[in-house]
Amino acid sequence: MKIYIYIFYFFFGLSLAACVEPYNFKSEARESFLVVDGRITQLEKYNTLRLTRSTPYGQAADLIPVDNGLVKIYKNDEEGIECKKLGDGFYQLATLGEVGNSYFIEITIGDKI
Amino acid sequence: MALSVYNSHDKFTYDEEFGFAWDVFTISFKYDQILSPDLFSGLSISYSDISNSSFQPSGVDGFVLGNGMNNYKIKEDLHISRFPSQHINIGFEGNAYFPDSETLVPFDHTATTIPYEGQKDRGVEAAVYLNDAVELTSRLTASIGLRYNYYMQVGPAQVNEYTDGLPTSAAEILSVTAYKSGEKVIAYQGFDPRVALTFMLDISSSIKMSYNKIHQYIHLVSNTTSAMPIDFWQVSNTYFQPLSSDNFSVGYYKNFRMNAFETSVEAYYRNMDNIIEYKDFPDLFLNNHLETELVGGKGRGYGLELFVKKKSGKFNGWLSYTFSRTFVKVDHYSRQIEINQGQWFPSKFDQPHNFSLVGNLNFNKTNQFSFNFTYATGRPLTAPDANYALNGTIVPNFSNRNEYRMPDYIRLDVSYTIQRGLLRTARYKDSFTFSVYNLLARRNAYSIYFKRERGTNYGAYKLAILGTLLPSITYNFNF
Repeated sequence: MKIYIYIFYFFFGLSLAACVEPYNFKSEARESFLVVDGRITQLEKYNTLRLTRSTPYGQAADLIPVDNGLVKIYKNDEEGIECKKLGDGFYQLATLGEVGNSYFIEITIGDKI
Repeated sequence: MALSVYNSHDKFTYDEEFGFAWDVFTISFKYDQILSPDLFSGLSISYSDISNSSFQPSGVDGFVLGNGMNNYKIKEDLHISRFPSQHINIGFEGNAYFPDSETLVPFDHTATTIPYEGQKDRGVEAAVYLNDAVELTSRLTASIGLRYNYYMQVGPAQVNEYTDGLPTSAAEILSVTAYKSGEKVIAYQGFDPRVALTFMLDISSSIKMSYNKIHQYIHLVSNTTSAMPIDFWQVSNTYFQPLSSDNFSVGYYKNFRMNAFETSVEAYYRNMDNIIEYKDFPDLFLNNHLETELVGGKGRGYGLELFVKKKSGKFNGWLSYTFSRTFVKVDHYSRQIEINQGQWFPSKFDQPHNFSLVGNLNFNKTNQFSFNFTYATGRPLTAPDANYALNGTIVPNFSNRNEYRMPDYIRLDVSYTIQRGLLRTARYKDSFTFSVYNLLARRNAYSIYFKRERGTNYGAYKLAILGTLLPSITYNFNF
């Protein structure tokens, strides 16, 4: 009879072997990257741009605002205009959007453009 | 004359979360005939039905998603041995690929999943070939062949036409052309030459070189990043051109101690065109316009194989080590579609190191111990390696395609065989084999997937099909 009990425990033990388990994934993302989130509209209230930084996998995905940037907006081929810092990573775009024009943004952080 | 039938059913379920099942049915008939003293005929006809399904057994959205492939095949091979020092094979081959419709049905009566059935593309292929194995000198033999193949996609089918100059997307479908059952949709053809040379250096060593070209009209679409890695087949159509590959190999073979030891070293290089890769975040299932989710690319592979085999003695077995790399490049005019900035990247099959050791220890005539050790580098993986916040939502940022790797695959199997189990007669032979599969109880990863529970960051999970060791007992009876 004892042998049957051993066999029962053996197969019961096998059945407990989980097939899905948490995996310790290690990100090799060496440095965070800049996240640019903004829109150009005809309404000043929404005419903003926000700079934040990504966090590597495994770290808390908190918002990391970037306030030390120099943001310039260019309309067509005109001179770039510097955008005002609002804090918490927000920048007020220096010009309102108008249909039929093209715009591009230049962001400088430290010595990187 | 031979008839063989094989049928199998496999099913895997993880808790009440998900599961998958595979069914295989094959039947084949072979009829060999000696037509004359120097003409031999071999006819084979086969049919196979491979179907798989994935399912979610619980909840109101419980479902069963099924697809499969029916393959009809006929081959006639004539072997001519009329000419001295030559073996000529000539023949034809026909293949029909008729996939099952892709279906989605509710798992049971409590599920409210809306049923779906989608027709898959069909194709037929015909080929004729000629091969001559000729002894050029006492040391040099050559096998030279040519195969011509013709492929046709046949209806029923619906072919989408897209806006010129723009990537194929559902939003850019301009019109749809419908084809009736059996109607020709598109055709491809190709010549596949092959050459193999064997040069005997001496009685125990040789050098072999070969080149061949292969056209393949059926593609395996596999999304290995999924937690439910269900593969399906896609035949060549208007948008998926036939896969072609050029294969080169050179090897040195040497036997030692009266052929007791066989050794070889072989290097190969492969160049591929029109391989299929999927775009980022593809929608592969329940989709009747797969060309919007898949993209063609180039591939290349190279490797070195080392092999040692001990054929006889109390302890025998073999050892092999392979170093191999496989890369893919998807270079597209649209930056939105090209993968990894159009650079070469490891394919999903890239496993640089592969090591196998198989041994048999014969204690005496009736007792034998065997083991099988396997090591392979983990398969490539695309993973979310960073997070960022956007409009208050945490968004995962995915790495380059196949930038990471799953854990290495390691497995040890052992078995002990006792001949003459119950029957001890000269006429009948039987044996017991006690074996343990995956003795190290290693949970080798089948897939790594990522999911986020409510209010937490993304977490990685490893799915192992076999979570522990698996013992078994086999009884063999020969009569």
